[in-house]
Amino acid sequence: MKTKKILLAILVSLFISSTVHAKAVWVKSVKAPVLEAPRLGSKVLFYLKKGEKINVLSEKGFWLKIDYNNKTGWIYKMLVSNSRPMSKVTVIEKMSETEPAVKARRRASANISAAAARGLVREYRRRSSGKYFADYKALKIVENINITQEEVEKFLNTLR
Amino acid sequence: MKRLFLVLVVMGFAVFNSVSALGSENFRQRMHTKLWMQRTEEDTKAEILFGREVAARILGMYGLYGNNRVLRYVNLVGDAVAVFSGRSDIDFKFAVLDTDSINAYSAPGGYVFVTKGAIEVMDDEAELAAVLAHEIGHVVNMDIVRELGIKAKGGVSAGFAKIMGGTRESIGVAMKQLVDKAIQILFETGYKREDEFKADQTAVVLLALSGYDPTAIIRYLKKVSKISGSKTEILDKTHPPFEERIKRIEIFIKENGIATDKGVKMKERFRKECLKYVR
Repeated sequence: MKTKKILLAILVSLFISSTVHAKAVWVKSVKAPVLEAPRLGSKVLFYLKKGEKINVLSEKGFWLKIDYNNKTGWIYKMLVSNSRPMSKVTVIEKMSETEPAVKARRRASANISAAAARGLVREYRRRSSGKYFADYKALKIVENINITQEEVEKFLNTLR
Repeated sequence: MKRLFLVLVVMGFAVFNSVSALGSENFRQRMHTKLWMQRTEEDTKAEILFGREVAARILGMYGLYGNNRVLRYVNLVGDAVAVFSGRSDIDFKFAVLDTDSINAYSAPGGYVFVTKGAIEVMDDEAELAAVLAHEIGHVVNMDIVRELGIKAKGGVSAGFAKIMGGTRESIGVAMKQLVDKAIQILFETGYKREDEFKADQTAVVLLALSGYDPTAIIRYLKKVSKISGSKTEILDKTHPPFEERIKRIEIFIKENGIATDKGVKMKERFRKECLKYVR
């Protein structure tokens, strides 16, 4: 009898939890459009920002029907996560331009004539530095390109 | 009482199964979600540090195309797409490789490269966005991270610890081997076929979300498929056949009812900011 009561309680709570099911998710992309219908290309109702918490009303394939401040719409699942999103992670570069490999590269470079084909120079560097040559100087240039969020927003507005 | 109890048992099972089904995705999506949820800040740091090493070697292979105007423009296009990627924990960086070969590459941590040769084939900004979006897809889907097990713990901790500890005399031997494996994937063996198809789908989604024509990737692939020889040598050996990719993308677009009459191409801006310098 006691066992039956326990089982009954479990079943009732399962039933209740499913009907009162109110899953919350967080926006994990920088920006997330909420659409009128679960279809890419349908009308954008509003945008959400990273970190905003939204309630899930239902699911359909790749889409979630959500409620945000009493506004409903559809959001693509790829843009949300079940937990609060991570902040942007940065890595402090500890390598400096005095690193031995870079110095060796510069010496080697100085000894190669200006007429050397680009491929020959690179091949020489590859042989002298192991299997694949790593160009950290070029990497720094790439990493130092700074595009602000405002610039990206302005650019995005030209696509609408 | 007994009858009521039996009714409740049946209801309970029915409800439990429907709750499970509500949240069900395909296995791959579940695994990706699981992988994402288990990640920590340290894992992302490890990914970025590893990705830097791979990126440096990609740059070492071809060299950086040095036109700053083009670099900024490519970064604007890439960032406009990456904003919708769901990987807001990393800073995507985009660059053009100084080679006539037609290809694009990405490294974990958000490093994305497109070759000068690939840009020369393109007609508009949406096609550039498509190629960048495909590579962003590999980063978002963590294809190399999963394949090589790049994590802060349980990964090649000695190598990562050296880098993260800042000694930087050399990256560990095991780390170098992992980096070499990543380069092999990019230049020799290619990603798994399903990873390539998934990256194509992610590209379509990103194009549509950002406002670009989602069929741009099809247009680009059709053009490249007509080119053969040394320019497409690496692309051909590391990717599934073009026809199959195009077919799968078309099916994906159709099955998901993705609008193909909306979305911009931005032909003029592409010519003005990019193509005229590259060609």
